[in-house]
Amino acid sequence: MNDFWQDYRSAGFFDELFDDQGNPRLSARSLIHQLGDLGRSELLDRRVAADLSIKSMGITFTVYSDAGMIDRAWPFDVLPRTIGESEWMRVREGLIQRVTALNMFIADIYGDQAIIADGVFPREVLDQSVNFRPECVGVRPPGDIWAHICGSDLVRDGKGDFYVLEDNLRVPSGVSYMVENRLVSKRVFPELFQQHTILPVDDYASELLDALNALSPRKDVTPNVALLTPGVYNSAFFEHVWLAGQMGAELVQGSDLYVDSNDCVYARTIFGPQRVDVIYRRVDDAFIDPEAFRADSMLGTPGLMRAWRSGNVAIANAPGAGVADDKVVYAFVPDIIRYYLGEEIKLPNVPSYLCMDPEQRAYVLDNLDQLVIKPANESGGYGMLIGPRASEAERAQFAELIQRNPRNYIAQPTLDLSTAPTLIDGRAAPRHVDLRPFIVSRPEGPGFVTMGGLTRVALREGSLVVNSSQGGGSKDTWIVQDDATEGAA
Amino acid sequence: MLSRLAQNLFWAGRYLERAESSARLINATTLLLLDLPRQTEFDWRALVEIVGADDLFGERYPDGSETSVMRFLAVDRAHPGSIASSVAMARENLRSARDLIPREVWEEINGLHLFMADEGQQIERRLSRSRVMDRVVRTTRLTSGQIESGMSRDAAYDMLALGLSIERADMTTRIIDVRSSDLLTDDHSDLLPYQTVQWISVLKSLSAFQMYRRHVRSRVSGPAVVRFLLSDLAFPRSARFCLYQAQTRLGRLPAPGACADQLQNAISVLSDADFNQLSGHRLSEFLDRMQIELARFNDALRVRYFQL
Repeated sequence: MNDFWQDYRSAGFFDELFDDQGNPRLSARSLIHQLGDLGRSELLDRRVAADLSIKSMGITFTVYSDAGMIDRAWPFDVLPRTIGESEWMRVREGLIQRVTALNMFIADIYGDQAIIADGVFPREVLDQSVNFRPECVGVRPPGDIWAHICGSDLVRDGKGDFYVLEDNLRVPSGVSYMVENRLVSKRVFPELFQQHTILPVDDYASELLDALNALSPRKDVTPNVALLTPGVYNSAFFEHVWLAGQMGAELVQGSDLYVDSNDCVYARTIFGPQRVDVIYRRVDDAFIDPEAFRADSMLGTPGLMRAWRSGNVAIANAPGAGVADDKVVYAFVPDIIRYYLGEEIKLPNVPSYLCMDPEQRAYVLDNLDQLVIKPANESGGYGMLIGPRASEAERAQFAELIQRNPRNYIAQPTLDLSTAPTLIDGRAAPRHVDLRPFIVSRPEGPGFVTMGGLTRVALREGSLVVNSSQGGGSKDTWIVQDDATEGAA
Repeated sequence: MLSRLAQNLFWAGRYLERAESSARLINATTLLLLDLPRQTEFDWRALVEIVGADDLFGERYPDGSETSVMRFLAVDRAHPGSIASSVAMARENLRSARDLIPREVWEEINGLHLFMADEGQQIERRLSRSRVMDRVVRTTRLTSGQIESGMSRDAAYDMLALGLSIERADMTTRIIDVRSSDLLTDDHSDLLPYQTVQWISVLKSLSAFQMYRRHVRSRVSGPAVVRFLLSDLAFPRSARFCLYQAQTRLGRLPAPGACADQLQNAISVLSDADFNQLSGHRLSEFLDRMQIELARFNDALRVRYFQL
């Protein structure tokens, strides 16, 4: 082991690259040696090169501030995070199991609601769900798939076991950064890629396009696929452009589309109206159709829901899919899997306390200083309380919020999130990471899971907040072929 | 091709060409100055006049010094026609249409945008000015090359190329307009020997000097230069050449109708011109007429393709 790694310790946490004795893990062994051989100053040069690439490739995300909209360079840490292939394959199975069951759940909720009739899922949870859309009841999208694209957030605990922290079934983002991170890595560390067998990540867009094409209501023509974006001010606009470009889909805004009296969707083009068959929407469903949902929405197209219900256009993810993207529903996922698939959950949930249950609520209120409190329907890490780090006043405020609206909160124990070495001030320092793989489901054939996913890293020491809007960074994630690792070791 | 994106691409083309033309103009003017006698009172405000922003300039700057004019033309983001603004607007327009253009084009424009923000200030010093302007010209040339060699000849290409051609024709007429009414404020008699130098500078600001020499083969004189820059059929920056280019692009777009008629009007004005009669105020009126025809063409495009 050489100088660069000499002081690296991640005491008390599971580290992605080093075991408890400080030896490189199998999947990282050759990476650790090569990075060590490059040495500190060379790594710093590579870091500069990576920053330059990101700037010149225009990989950005957008943040709002008082000063208006700002494009920030995508934050990237050059040290990759590795996972062995066989371990990943097990995770993959767990993800497919999960998304399969969630799709069956959504279809059931908008159909017969058998799971409620059978007493497995409480009606009152559904009644209070803000993402349940009565407008979708009775609709049967192709193959009964509602959540075509899912981004699930995974974390490891202190023992190194993977847990699912949440499922994003509305408009999960980040996949473009997963692919771009790999591109940057290849630019700055070409030699590392010669020495490893790292499984490729760049087939995502083709898989997604296949899945979207398969949804087209018109089987006799090549489908016209459009990606519906809220526009350049959206924080994920970079990704919308990226995906449209990679798929050869038209990137549209709500005002580019209209629905005619036969409930068909058309794009306004210089050639005249062009029929749209499939819409990959990156607009929250509350905004896609001012006729059906929020009348004040400037982002949607009036009549889109009519067209969808008539089966003249496919929408992915289907409107209403967010009903399963709720932290209270999350707590029921083990039951949901057992109910629909007759299987035990393969990729466990983080233990969750439902504040709607009086006993569990009492426990939560007594133990606020040890728990993480999450609102049921927020994303991006907003509206959370991290008990051990919060002040007395903040805890009191959350106690009140929970009592006022118990259905809206769940609590989870704070996890000892795993760490990965991250280049901070010229040294490798342990920082907490999570992982967001993406799962694509289609009417026929098996689901697709990205090879790895987007690793997000909390750049501040000890911090658990990985969201890029709140100072998180990212890493390239390598699924390393097992036999190749052994060969190189 | 979505109407909204068609509009984005057309304007991206215009802004890119505008940035390039402005950079050439600044470079050529700075070089011209080195040739003129030291005591010459050079009015930098003539450059502001070319871009038609006299009022805004007057509001924002107390004097017509070289520094003020350079700042205004190159880096002032409050001036929508400055190079920095043009690049930023090209970038904004291309941002929505990023999936339609070669990735390298976006990267180059993005890089140029960052460069202007970081280093554009250096334009105030003559020493670093040409370096900054060269960067602008080189980047826009490079992206043109990437567009020409990397972009399928589809409606996206036609819109972008249409914007480039129209802006180029527009800039050529503007430059002639201001330059023909003279850049020099002093009594001209003592500067007569420098008239040739000035006209050479006009040619150079359009990168036309070399081709003029090859094809006109008479000494550089005002009327010959005006004729060459307006109506030469072989030189790619002549107004007429640009309009024919635009006509080709337009012909490939669906049902150009009134747009095609309006463009033909502009071309006819050029073809029917008697260049022997065009000097002084007649030339000025003629160029105004051209400007009006081009503005009408812009309107026709908007109605036909952009506002559906």
